[in-house]
Amino acid sequence: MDRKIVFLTGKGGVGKTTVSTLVSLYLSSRQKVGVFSFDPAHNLADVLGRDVINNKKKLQNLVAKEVDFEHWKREYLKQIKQGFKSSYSYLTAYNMLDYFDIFEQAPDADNLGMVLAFDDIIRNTDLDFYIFDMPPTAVALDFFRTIRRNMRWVEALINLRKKIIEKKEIISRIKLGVREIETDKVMKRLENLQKFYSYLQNILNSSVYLIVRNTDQLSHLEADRIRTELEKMNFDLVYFVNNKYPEPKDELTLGMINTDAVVDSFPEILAENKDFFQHVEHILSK
Amino acid sequence: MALWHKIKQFFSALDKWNKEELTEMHERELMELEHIFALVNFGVVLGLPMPPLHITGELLPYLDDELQLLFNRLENSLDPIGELFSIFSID
Repeated sequence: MDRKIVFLTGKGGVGKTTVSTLVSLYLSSRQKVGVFSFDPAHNLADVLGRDVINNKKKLQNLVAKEVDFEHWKREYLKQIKQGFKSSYSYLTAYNMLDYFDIFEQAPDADNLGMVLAFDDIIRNTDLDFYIFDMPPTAVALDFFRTIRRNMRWVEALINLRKKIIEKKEIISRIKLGVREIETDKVMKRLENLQKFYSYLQNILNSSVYLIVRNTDQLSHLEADRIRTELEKMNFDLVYFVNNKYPEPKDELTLGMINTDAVVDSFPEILAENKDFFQHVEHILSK
Repeated sequence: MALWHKIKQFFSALDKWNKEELTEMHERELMELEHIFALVNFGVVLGLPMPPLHITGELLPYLDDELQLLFNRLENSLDPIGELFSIFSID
């Protein structure tokens, strides 16, 4: 079976972490599952236990991680500084490379940390299911938009760069009678970026999006808005999960769950919400 | 034979002049395209939106020529008449 990626989104406090944990525990009884907290205000350790996050305790076939985006941001900026050292080596004489530290404060630096962390998880782990416990709405949607937006920037720059290369080739054909093809390093970097973002966009296009909502009107309205935004991005596999409901509303409904004892009381939770888990499995098998 | 040689020289000079004219036009267009590329990547100095950090970070080490181009253009913008004269090769 192909690996499946699931994103849990929704208004703050609706129970994304709880639902992520429940889905992960259910699936990890038979397959390799990773649950990754992408919410900077991580709660995963509170639900699963710090020992599981720190790999000191094994839970079935489950890998659980609270992702550190700052680490990815810092590593990337270190890499940029290295690149600058060779091109702008005269700056090292003036100790001016430290001024590049300001990039850490760039408006999309945090988003970049998330993108790089996501890419690393997808490429470098071998799992059957990837469950991403996302931050509240605005940050989650911005993450999804970032990948599409960056891809469009890269495509526009590639088109412009192609025109420059074609022009250079025309000039060399007129002057020298032959088309002199020189390696354009900028174009190579742009093509690498295009491959990078196309890969991630394809992943997002085929992922499952579970929007968690509670009984209150506000979380319903926000869930509707999230669905509209995801559909605008052409994501088809979008489902609502009703959490903390007194009675089942449809197959994707969970009752009141004691989040302090999710792991210990999972067998009881599974028995009481069988329809929910079977329905999730059905969605993920499509 | 001398006449044939003169005719050959004439057409060779005409060909060279044509090539220079054509090359000049393409070189000017190339210069403008490179200016636009520089502006798109560094236009933030003029208040234009900057590409995402990931793109800037990947390209910046290779864009020192474009950066120089932009600074030259900014400098020349202080003398637009001089630049126009240079386009028309007026000394």
